[in-house]
Amino acid sequence: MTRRVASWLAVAMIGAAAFVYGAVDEGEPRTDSDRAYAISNTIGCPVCQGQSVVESNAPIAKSIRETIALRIDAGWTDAQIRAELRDSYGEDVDYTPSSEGITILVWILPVVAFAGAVAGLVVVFRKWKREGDLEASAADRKLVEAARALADED
Amino acid sequence: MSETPASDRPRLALWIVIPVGVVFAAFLVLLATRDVNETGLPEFTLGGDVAPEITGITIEGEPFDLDDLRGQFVVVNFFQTTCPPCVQEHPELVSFHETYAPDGIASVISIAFNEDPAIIAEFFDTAGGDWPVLGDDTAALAVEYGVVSVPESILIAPSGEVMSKVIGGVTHPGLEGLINRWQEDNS
Repeated sequence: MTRRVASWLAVAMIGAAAFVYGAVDEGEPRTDSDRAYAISNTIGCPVCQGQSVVESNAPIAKSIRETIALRIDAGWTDAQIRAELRDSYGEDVDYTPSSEGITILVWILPVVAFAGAVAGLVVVFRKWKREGDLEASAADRKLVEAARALADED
Repeated sequence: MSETPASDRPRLALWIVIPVGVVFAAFLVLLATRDVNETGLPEFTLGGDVAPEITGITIEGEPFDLDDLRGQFVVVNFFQTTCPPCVQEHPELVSFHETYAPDGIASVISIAFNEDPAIIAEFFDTAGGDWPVLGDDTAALAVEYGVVSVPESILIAPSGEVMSKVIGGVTHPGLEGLINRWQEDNS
């Protein structure tokens, strides 16, 4: 393995490790009100366009906020609370896309697009590098000699 | 030295652009073909399911359990005393309840939406209506029944299965029609 390949591998591993850490680590333990706010902020108000239940003053938004707090007190997980709200008001109410059914594409497509872009860049760079290392052919040499001869005559 | 033909670069660009274009096109197709709810309100998903449990203490201090009404049709009415359509539909609910409750055919129960129980009691004293009314801790019930605004009424069959939901005010004949249709469909 060349030194250059090793260094690229090291960069890739550090990047992957940072990505996994960011995705898995939940940071400091959250309080119940932190959890309630985080869920409410990513649940859409069913009767208001583009507002979360945190932002909305609609009576149903208030009820949903109260219900989220009640469920947290009762020991429900975030996933259980979101599932209940999706059951009652449909998938669109949850601003965090689920990882089931067609919505899994929301998670997969960016990764596929990123991998495709990286692969594309690798292909392009390799091609450019190959072009840089090309040997002159006999025909090329002949052309150059002819050009030089022409220049010498001048 | 031979140069890379100029035509190679656009071809390479095409290899990159085409997959990206396909992904975006797929997204557009998905967005364009997904079901759109014309009403702008969430779809009612409870139809055909067993009605969520309703238990609690009524504004008169009596314990209430929806299961005690199993065997008859139940109209679960979510309301607010300050909402004009709720006030308007109230006599219709009174008439419906007085017609069917004595024979154990159908009953009404009311669930107040974000309101002070004292105000609710005063409203029933004035407007009539002799059925269980829940006023405390009703937020979760509204969520469990998928309520978005008031008035909304959910009809429950004698089996305990949710029949349908009426958004807006109900009428006595309208409720009878829903029950008759359900009986025809299930006879």
